[in-house]
Amino acid sequence: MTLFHHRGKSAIRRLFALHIIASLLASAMVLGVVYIGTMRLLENQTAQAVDAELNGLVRDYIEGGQFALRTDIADRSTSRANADSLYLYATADAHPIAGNLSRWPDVPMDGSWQTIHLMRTDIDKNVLVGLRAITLPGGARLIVGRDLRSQREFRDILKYASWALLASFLVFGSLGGLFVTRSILKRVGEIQQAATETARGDLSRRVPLRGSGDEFDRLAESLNDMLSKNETLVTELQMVTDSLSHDLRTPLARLRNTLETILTRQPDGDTTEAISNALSEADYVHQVFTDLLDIARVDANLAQSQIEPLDLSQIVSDAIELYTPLAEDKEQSLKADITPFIKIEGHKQFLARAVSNLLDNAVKFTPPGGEISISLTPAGNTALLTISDTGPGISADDWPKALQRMGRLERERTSPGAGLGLSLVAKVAALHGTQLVRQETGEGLTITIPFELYSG
Amino acid sequence: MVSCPDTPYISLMRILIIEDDTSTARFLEKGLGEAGHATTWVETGVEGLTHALDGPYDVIILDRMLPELDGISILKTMRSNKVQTPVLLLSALGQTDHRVEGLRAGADDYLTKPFVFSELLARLEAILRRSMPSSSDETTLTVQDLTLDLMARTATRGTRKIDLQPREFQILEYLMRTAGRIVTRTMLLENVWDYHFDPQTNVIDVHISRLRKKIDQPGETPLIQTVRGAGYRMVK
Repeated sequence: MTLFHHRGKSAIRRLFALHIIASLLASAMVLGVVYIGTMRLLENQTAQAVDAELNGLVRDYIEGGQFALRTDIADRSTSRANADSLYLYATADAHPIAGNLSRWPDVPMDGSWQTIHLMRTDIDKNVLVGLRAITLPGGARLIVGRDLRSQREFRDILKYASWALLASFLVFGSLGGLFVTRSILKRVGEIQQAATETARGDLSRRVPLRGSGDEFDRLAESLNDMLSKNETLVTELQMVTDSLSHDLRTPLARLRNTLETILTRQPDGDTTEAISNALSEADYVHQVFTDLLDIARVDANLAQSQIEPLDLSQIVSDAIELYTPLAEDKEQSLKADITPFIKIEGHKQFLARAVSNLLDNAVKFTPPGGEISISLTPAGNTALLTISDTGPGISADDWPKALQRMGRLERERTSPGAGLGLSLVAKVAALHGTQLVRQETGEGLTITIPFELYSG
Repeated sequence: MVSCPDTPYISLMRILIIEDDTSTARFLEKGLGEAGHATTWVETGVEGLTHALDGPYDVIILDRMLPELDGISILKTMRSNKVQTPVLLLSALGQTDHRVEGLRAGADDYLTKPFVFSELLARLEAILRRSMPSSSDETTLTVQDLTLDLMARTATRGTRKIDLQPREFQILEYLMRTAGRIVTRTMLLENVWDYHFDPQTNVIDVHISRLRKKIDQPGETPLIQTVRGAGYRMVK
């Protein structure tokens, strides 16, 4: 039987985590590209503006000479409209002539774009500056630059905005994911619960509908359809086996009653014997019929609802105790190694019957002086029930046949019974979600049945 | 009809038979009448329930499959109405899971058709005796010179102490509690082993013969009798 795990691995949770990580990476990439692109664009624009201004000043210098340049720079340095513009006009040996920078910095004189921290004399602050420095015809030096503070501020805002976006994405994405995952898991859980309870025998169980008509409702509806059909089928099967049982047992009862009534009239010896034989035959028909129906009903899971936690050790010990005198009478040694208090979920009567059948077969087929051993031992989260004998055994080829209904083997031809013993054991094992395993041994027959331990 | 006329049965029982199969019902009426009991036979579930709820019956034989109202429903209605009259479910539904279901619904015993009449009678008497309050508080059981001490878990025959295995003690206790009445192999399996199915081989016989060797030794009056075709009986 399937165990129902409420917690544990969840594909939907994993998928959502992956989805959030992927979304975060993609967003971070887009934001990064936007950020770098914007910053580059701004810097290029500044560099170009500085370049244009530098060209204008050089033209002024060439046309108006040293004085014109000096006035020009002084004007521009103090103009409020050019608050971010920086200038330094210096002699060939770097002595400042005009401008709003304190001293000549150590920068290449090739007119390339440089960024550097410099002291602004007009506002008395050390600021980050982007600039171009050149040597004018005649050896004097000229710097035109821009105070990059406002650009940096913009960059910071962009940076914070990006982080905030990613953070809110993570938070809301996770919360949303958690919510969606929870509601999906809840509905999947409802479906699983219904399936588990159905498997345990509650055939009237259905998946609850929300009435929203969404995909889960549609899934639930198809599952409910299936469960209804299943219930109908099982109910029909139950009715068929019930009426079969009734229709065969009632005439058998009448037959038996009639024969019994005749016996009470004290007939002569021959008649008594004939009627006694007829009674035995009627009882035999009844026994075979009961076994066959039991197999059919176990097969159809009709006993599922009677499964409950129980002490398997007790059941096995009781069966051993029941068969020990029989084995002793046949001079067989019956060895038992039963670990006490092994709990499983099972059907008490059918388990007792299965163990009895196994012991019955072992006693039946083991020659006098032979040995039968039975053990029940825990192994991890299972309990292994093993029974072995020193009888003729069943070959690997015959094994599948031995587990079939009415699959009588050569060794059974001469013994009574309809060959239903092992097939009932096989069905009972299947009812408990397990199976019979034939062990390859030198002699005799060794059968192991692993049972899942009851955990809660 | 009754296999052993000398059997000292419990005095007259008033038995309600709820059974739709005429042949089975007549067979029951005849047999139970011959055994000295008073029977009332009704054919339908509804009629049966009315009788079961109101009638002065000692025990009810209830068929499980009935027209209109089935046996399990009658049983459940009776028990929920606090009617505790002992019920023997007599059913053509004899699978292991059916029996478990019937007993869980509140039946005192479950017998499958086809049945042996003596077994039915033995079971009726057993459940009737069980429903009497006196028998449960005893601490010792005595049959002739055989004494079973339920507290000390010892058995003695005359002055001889008998060494019993736990299961042998249980079998003996059951036989002594039902002393004078027939106990079938199935009854022993159900009451001593709690097995509600028939193992293929007659394992019970081996257990009884071992117990008998301990109880009835040469020279002593045999207390455990074999009733041919029916089962065993402890003499009274």
